[in-house]
Amino acid sequence: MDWRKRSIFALLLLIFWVGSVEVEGELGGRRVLMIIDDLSNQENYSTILKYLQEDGFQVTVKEETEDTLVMYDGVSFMYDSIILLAPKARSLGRGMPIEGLDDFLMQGNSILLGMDPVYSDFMKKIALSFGVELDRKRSYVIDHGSFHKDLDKGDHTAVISGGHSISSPLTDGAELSGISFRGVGAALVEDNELVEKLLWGSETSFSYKPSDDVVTPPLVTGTDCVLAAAVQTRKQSRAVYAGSIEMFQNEMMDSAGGDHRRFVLSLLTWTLGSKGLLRADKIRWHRVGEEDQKATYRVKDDLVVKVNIMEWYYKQQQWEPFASDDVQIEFTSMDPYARVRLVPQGNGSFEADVPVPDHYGVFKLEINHFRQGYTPISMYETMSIRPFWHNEYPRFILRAYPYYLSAVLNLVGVFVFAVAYLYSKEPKAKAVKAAASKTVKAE
Amino acid sequence: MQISIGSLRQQEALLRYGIIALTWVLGFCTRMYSVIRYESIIHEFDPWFNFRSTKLLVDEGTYEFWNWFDDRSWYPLGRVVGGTVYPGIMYTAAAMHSLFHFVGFKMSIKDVCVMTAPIWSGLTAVSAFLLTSEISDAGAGLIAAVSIALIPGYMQRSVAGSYDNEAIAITLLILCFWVFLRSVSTGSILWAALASLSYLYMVSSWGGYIFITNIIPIYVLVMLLAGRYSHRLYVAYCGWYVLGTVLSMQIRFVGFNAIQSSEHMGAMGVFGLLNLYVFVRWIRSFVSESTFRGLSQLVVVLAISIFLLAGFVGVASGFIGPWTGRFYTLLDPTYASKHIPIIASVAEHQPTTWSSYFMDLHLFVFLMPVGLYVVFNNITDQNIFIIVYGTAAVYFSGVMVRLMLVLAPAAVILGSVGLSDFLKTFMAVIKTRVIDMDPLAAEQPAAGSSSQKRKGKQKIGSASTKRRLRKEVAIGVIGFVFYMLSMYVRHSVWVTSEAYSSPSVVLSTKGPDGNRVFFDDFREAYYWLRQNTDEDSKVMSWWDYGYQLAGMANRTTIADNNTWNNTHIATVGRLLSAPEDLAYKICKKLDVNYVLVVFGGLLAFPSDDVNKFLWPVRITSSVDPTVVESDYLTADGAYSVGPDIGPALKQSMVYKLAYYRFAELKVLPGKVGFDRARNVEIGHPDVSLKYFEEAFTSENWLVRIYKVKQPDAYGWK
Repeated sequence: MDWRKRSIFALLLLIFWVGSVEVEGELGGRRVLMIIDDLSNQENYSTILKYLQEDGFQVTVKEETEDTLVMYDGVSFMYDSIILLAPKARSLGRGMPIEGLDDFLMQGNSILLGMDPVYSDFMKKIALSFGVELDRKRSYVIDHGSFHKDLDKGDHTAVISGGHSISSPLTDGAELSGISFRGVGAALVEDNELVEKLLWGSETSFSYKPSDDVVTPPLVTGTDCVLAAAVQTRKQSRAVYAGSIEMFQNEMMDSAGGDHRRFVLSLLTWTLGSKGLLRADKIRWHRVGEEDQKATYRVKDDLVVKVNIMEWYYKQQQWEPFASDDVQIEFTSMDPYARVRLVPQGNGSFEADVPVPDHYGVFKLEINHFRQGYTPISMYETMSIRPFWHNEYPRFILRAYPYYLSAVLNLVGVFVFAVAYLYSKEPKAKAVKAAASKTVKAE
Repeated sequence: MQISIGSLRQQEALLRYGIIALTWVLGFCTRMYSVIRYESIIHEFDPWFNFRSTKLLVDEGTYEFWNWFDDRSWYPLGRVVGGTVYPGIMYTAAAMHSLFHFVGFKMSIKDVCVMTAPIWSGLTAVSAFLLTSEISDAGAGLIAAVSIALIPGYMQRSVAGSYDNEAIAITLLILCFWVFLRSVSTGSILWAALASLSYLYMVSSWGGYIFITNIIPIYVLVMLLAGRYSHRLYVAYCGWYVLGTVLSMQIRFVGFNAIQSSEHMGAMGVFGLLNLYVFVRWIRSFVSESTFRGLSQLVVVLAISIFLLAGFVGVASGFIGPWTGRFYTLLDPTYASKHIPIIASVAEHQPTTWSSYFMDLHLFVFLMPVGLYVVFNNITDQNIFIIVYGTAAVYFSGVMVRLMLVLAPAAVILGSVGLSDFLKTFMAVIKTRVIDMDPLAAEQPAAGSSSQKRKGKQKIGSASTKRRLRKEVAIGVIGFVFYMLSMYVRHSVWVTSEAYSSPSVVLSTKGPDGNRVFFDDFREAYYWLRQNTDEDSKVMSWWDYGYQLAGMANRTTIADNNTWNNTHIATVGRLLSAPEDLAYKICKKLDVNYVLVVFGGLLAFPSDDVNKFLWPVRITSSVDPTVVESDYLTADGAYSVGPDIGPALKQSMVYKLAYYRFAELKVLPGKVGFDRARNVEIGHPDVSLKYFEEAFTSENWLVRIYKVKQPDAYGWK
């Protein structure tokens, strides 16, 4: 290789290296961009802004039409999360098409999407890409049975939710009541398997235009009425949908009660990665009594399986051991042969004893940990399980001793017979001869 | 000039060895066509597995090979190769490899594998010489040696690169028969022991050893029925059976089958019968006739009832295995196509056509009956054997094309015996010419003798015209025979070079200018997989390509040519026959990363996955009854990808993967998606894929590889 080739090679390598460096937003990062319809309305969000700032987030508030709305500086995203409370937005700033949002999420960043009955097609498209199908424009969730008396303006659109997801990261397991909502109704798209509803209407709720008479069946009714939903993508990012921007505004925050306030703030910080962010390292394993991990084990071995699962603590800004006793691991080869609970060891390490079945083949150690509010963990490692080697069987079996004995006796017998036959003298040689000649004659 | 008898014998030996040596060279050279035309490459499918195993044996050693658990095939089941393989050919090639290296001939293991079959073809000639000499004489033996080196029926399995079990098994088959006949002729235990050793080698090499296991007992039975029992036969058979069975059990794949499976029961039964027969003879030698009759009736009834009882108990308890499908196929040629699609789907398991007899045996189709006639004229213990072998081989060859391989040696040996007798008869006539053409030589001793001789001379004189006529006939006949033999050689060489030398990994055709055009799509695709995919990728394809994928692409396969698990193959069949969403589920279940299909629509390559597709459907429907063959056919029951395509076929993965983007190609002007293999414009040119994306398509579209998409990050199904 001459110098020119070498330098070109080095250059290519450099380009390749630079290109391959992926600038990933750190999990639970604190740079938050809040986009609202009109900057003059910023005061409406002062409660949540104040709360977020107190919690340590650096919130930048921008208007969707603003020229300075830039999220991408050409190398990396400038924010870790977006709170998008601009239902009428037609774009996301300069140089940020809808695919840009996709990239944003694929790099582990999160987004909260606030919607309103008056929404743009652009926003509808974004919601749909998460698996949330909005009702027609200007339709509200209406509930004649369960509405907020103070906030309601007579059309029963200020509804009180029927229930919410009580996953521990979201509300610390508490069941909150009186969460108010005024906004558009939505349904979950069945084709999406990751989207789950976080907040839904009561039994008597439905989604329709308040001004119209109900003549056609509403898009959604009862508890199917989705008020808020979330997708935790396979790239560890969160996309949260809320059908109402009013629930984030001061008016509702102040007058709808403590539970509403608590839920909304939890929802916000959960979206920004405050809770339930998990990180799992590779699954490791070794045989009982050994240290090394091998690619092949034998049937009927006993394995110890270990995995580290950490949870992000945003206050401390560090990974702490994940404390949960319901993580399971499966040992599968097409079908599960063992399903074992992983026992937390306190330092983030989980351990389980997995017995290898008497069945050879390629096996997977598989963890599928799907819990509401937590980052889904779905991973596997393969290993091969081989049958016994020919020299791994017991050499002597107790039950076979009669056969061993008979074989040895047979050997000895043949030997003795051969010696006797070959070396013994025949005392009645003549008689035998005579007998032989007799038979010859007879023939 | 004096010629001593000794040197005459030496000359004869020199001639004999010279002919055999030349035969070896001839056989070797003819089998080199594949290397000359293409390159030194392992052929077809099974040889790739043999090659891969041999490589492991050479690289890792015997223990690793013996205990080899292959986790890269039949994912996720794996295959215990050490226990499911006939290791003879691998050990043979490894031994040859180390021998060559010991001599200082540094051949790579691939080249040793490629050359194994041609080298062993010489040994086959030697074995054929020995066996034929044992049956007839050395003259016939030489004819047999030369003929077997060239016979196409054997040639097709032994060209360079055809590194399959049969490459050495045919040699061993003949060798085993020869050694056994030696022991029958001599009655020596030593030869019987050698027979069992050669039988062990055969068992270790090829599943066809079962042919020997059954032919020898049938021979013994025929000998008993013909009243030709001798103690020599007893020693030979019992020695061979007892030692051979114990030895064959040492091959892991055979193991207890040797005493349990139905295929081996015949040998065991004849063993019992022979001993019973001998016992009866022994009793008979010292009791009176009437006592004997009563006794024999008792013994016969007892023996039969014990035998039946043992058989019944054995079958009922499952100790004696059920008859496997392959064996039923031998007895009833239609059995497999009725009941076992996986057996019927293999090309070499199809019934033989008449034309292939001529193609594979040529002259020996006609010479074999001649040989049978000659042999029947002069029945000996050895002749009976070749009659039994020949008859059985003719029958079995009609059942499966593959067994033509077993018939070829029988035809050659019988044909050579016939031809040799033929030539001897007519040559003798020509030889008498020396006496006739020289009347002085005949007259001179007669001159001083009595009138009786004069009379005789007159007789000779009167007969001489007749004899001259016969001489001319003889010369004509011999000339004709030699012409036919030369035609045989021409035919064999032509067939070898044109039909049997294709590696089927590389395809070729003659271009318009007469030059060969090569299509190297298979290797192109396999190397693409090797270079561009993750080492642990799982590649799913129809099982035909499993061994090649493992050998050339070095990737994990779901099913391969060792068709041991019908259900697993049916799963692959289900994938190919299913609509896309179901196929995706199967892919996820089996962790499949890539799907490979072979498509001949552009190259007019007929044996692609689309044409084979009804076999996957049949195999799948034998496991999963929801798959119905008629759904894949047109309304009037035809198989077509044209506008009248069957509803399920249109949805099936095989159609989608084969014709994806095919309509973009302008194969013929004015036609959208014209399939040259089936000569039809495809019915539904707009193929879209949701869960699969095209990863690679080879130059002539022969191999198409699709990547299975990862699950959507947002959870979209």
